[in-house]
Amino acid sequence: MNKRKLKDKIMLGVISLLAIISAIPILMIIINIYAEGLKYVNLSFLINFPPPPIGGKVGGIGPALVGSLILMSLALVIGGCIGFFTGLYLSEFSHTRLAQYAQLFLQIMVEFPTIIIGLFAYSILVAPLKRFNAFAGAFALSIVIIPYIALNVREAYKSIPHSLKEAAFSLGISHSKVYLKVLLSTARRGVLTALLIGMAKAAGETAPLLFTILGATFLYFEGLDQPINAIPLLIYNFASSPYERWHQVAWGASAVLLSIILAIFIISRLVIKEVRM
Amino acid sequence: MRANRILILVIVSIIVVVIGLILSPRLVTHVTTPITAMTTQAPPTTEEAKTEAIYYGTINGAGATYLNPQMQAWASKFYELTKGRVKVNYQSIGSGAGQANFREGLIDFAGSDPPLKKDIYNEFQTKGGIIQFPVIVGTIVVVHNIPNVDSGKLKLTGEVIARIYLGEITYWDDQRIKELNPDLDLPHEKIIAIHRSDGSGTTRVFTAYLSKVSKDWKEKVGSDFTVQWPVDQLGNGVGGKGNEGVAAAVMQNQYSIGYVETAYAHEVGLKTALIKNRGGQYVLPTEKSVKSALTALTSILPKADEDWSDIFPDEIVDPAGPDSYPITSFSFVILRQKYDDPVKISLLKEFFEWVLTEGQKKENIVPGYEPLPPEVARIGLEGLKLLR
Repeated sequence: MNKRKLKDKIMLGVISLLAIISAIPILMIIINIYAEGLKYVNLSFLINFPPPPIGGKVGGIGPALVGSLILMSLALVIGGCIGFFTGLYLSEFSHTRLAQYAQLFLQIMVEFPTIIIGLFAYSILVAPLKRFNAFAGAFALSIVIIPYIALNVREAYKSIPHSLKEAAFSLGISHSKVYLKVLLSTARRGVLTALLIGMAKAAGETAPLLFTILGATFLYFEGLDQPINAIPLLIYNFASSPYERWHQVAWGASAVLLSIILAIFIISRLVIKEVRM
Repeated sequence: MRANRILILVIVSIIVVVIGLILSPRLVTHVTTPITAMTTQAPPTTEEAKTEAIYYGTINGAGATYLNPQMQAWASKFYELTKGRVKVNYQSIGSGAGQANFREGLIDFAGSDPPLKKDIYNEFQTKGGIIQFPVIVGTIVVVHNIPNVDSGKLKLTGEVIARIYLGEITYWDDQRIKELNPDLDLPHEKIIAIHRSDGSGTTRVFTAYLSKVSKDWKEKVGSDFTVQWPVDQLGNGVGGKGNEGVAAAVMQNQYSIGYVETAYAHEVGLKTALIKNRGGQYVLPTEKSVKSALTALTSILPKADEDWSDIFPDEIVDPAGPDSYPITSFSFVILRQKYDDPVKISLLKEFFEWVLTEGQKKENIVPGYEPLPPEVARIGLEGLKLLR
């Protein structure tokens, strides 16, 4: 009896230790990036153009930050709309063959290498238009986030008790009202989380942007048909340069990017809490 | 059930129409190319009339990673000088990608370590022509990581470097290295030969140099953007991606040797080796040795609208001259001769004329790069006159 209890305790200890260990890398990354990067971040860092490698002003990540925000919101508008309605369809018409196939495809898409999605956007939106453009980047990002949003929205609608759906339908109101008014208010924390996860995903992706937006140094935004920059792309470019100052900008940009993503996750946690209470 | 099928049919047909619309620009551009080509005939008159007018806008370029720091310094300075009127947006995506994007017409200009390949040059000859000209001098240094040997002390010849990368010289205290460095205490340690793992203009120039100074190298390996490194087969070779990869590998591996562009070695603080030139002197890339190399080269350089692929880099490495640095090369900018937009033409002209004149002054050159001598800068200035 005693031996078994001891075994149980040891096992529990080992598993807890492993759980702690698996969280260590994330903490290390966060601490490391903030320790290295936070000291360069201030208001002018968020606004200014990137600096030349040597000489001139200290500079900042203005174009990349503006570009990232534009790309994120555009991707969220496109991917959010498509993803939301796909998720709704998958949940409420799950008996149809189309829904079954769609779900299968979405599950494959989650695992898709994002660089391939970037190449696809290049071949249909960059090469034919003869220019790198912001829209192609947003398009690629929205394809990346659609499966995440759709599958999470599906879960959110699936979790609504059947009795509630029946009650809503029994009122005799139209389908659209049932899904978008009655049921959405119940599923809204799940739907919001789905959108926020999509947004965080769009903020951090580099590969879909490599072939689509080119990047921009001395311009913020000149239209959706023109090149634009993004924070992950800037980090990728500056971190591989030999110049100390560009490394500093890359560290600072990493801290900013991490803050954006952490902020999104904290908001999504708060959303869940608020609804629970 | 039937209603469902009709719904699916409607959705599918909408998707087909949308994809069709997205793909249609590709068809449209193919159809309209001859028309746009014709309209480009007209602008010159209006452009001449407007030379006094002030243009503003953005020019997009991409390409060589090596050129990037210098190009950003120029772009930043020119942005200030024109008070934001001219925005030069250059992104470092590599020479190969830059040339490919330029060929597709995705960017206004390409930055490239090697000039255009012959087939792409010929292709452009039928499409209105290109101009390509050097904008900055690039030198490649041989770097090492022998703890007790300082920078600028180790002497090497092209022949010995070739034998190291061929895997024939495997220890630092090999007789052939000792002979060159009688006053150095070289350790009995294996040489780890670091090279680029990705396709690169640096490798192309470096191997062109080795081919020129070593018959064995020319026969066994040759020169290209990537080559089969014999030293790899012996297990003493290590590949690094990009200049930064090679630099990092050299720093991490004691007793290694590598080759990087000078600006990288300069920034990272790698130890450089002296290389014996054709005149028998051991030289580092200094202002004097680079100038000497360029003086020897000026007479053989083609014009901006001509094909450079025959002389570059095979003819320009290991130049004559008693002080010349042997692995001296250029970075190029490539432009089309014809642009549809007269504003782009004025902006490109304005910027690159500045780059080739004021831009070559010491205060606008990033340390580790060397400016073009006026005779070489003139190639570009003459070429820019062909822009229409």
